[in-house]
Amino acid sequence: MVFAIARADFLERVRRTSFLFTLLLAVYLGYAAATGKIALRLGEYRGVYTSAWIGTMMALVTTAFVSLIGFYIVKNSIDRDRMTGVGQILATTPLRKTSYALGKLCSNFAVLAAMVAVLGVAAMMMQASIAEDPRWDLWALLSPFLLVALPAMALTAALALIFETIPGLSGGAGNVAWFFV
Amino acid sequence: MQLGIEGVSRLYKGKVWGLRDFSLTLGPGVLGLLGPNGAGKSTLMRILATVTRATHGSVLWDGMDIADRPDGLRSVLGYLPQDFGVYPHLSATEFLRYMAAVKGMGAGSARRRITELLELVNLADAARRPLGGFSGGMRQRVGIAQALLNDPKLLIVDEPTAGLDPEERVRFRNLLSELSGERIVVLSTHIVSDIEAVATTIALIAQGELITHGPPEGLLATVGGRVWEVVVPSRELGALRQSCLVSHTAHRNDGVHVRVVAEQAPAASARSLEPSLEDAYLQALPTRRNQGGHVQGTSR
Repeated sequence: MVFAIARADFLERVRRTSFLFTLLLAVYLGYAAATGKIALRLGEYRGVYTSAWIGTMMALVTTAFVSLIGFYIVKNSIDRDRMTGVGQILATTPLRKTSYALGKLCSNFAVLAAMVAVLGVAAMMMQASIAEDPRWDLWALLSPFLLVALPAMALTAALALIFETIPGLSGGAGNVAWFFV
Repeated sequence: MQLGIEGVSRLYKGKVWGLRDFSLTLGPGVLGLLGPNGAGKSTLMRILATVTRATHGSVLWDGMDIADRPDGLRSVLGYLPQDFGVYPHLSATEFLRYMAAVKGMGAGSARRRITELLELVNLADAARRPLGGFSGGMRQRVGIAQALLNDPKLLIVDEPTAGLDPEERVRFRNLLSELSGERIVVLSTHIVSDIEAVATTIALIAQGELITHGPPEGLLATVGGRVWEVVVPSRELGALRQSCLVSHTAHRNDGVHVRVVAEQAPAASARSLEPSLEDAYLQALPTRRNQGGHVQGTSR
């Protein structure tokens, strides 16, 4: 049941034009990082583009941008059910609130994780194209995504759901609050 | 299998009664819930479907209060709301698979049932198209299919023929008739011809209150010998409306043919007609009767 909710919600979102635009933005961020437009610097110094440095840099960029923008993208899953009328059909089924919330959480996370995955691919392309250090270390490259970006996305997904269920935070006030969080 | 509605009332914000002291007991068959817009039909349907709770009174499904134990009813319930909505980027099959899962159906049985239902509602060819591109009638048919997914014992359909073309409407009525055998169907509408075609029992509702209920024959008997046709010039139609309950008018070469519900013949030339449900419906509505028949009741 949780999987069915997550699947339907995920498919409904990723097929929207707005999701495509968001993915394009994610790709642009990857490109900007790959071409040095976005880079982590320590004073006048920057890291050598090894797998570990590229992975870390891209994961941090991903975490910062996707958790900010992604929140606004996923913070409408319950509201959509209300607006479309699907919610009142769900209300007449034996579906439990916990299953519903878990399904929505999984969907939120899947949408954000898809964006992280795009930036993970961008990191690999960056390693291949810049090649300051030609040695590939896949774990060093991708582990920051797994250990930093994805947990941050899980937190964002959960907070988006919590914001949506709290009356004072479900509207514009919540959006403003998230920007400062 | 029994659905008991016992003194159900619903009070909305601003102290407006959506439903007042509504009582009825239903067994297998089709209950046609008939009433004008804003009569309280959808409020009752939402309470029966466990979407909304009653302010007073109770609804019992096989003796069990649905407010205390909604899951007993929900597992055997099919509900098509008036404002049925979908996920526009899912196909009909994907959406129905989703609905089947939340109704607790297994994947295999859901797949078979979805194929059957898409055939039944004549959407097999459009099964893989996004719902966002469906016409209103096609969406309504998806709504009907989702309501039937779990082969419900209680089927609640709120204004189901809205948006359907005449052919689809007839098809849907036939479908409801076929389904009614071993289940309770509650059909809400303001279209008298829909009720006339399928209902085994009729309940008239107005201003949140149950006006009358019983078999169609019982309702028809209330206007037996009281329906007339009189032909008048157009200029006299207004005066006739002031004095009688006019249920239908048709302009012809020889004048306006007016169908009137009245105790006595409205004119010497009036001829008696067989009563219809629409006549009985209009006659039973308290507001219209009190207004001296100002309303032309052509809901068809």
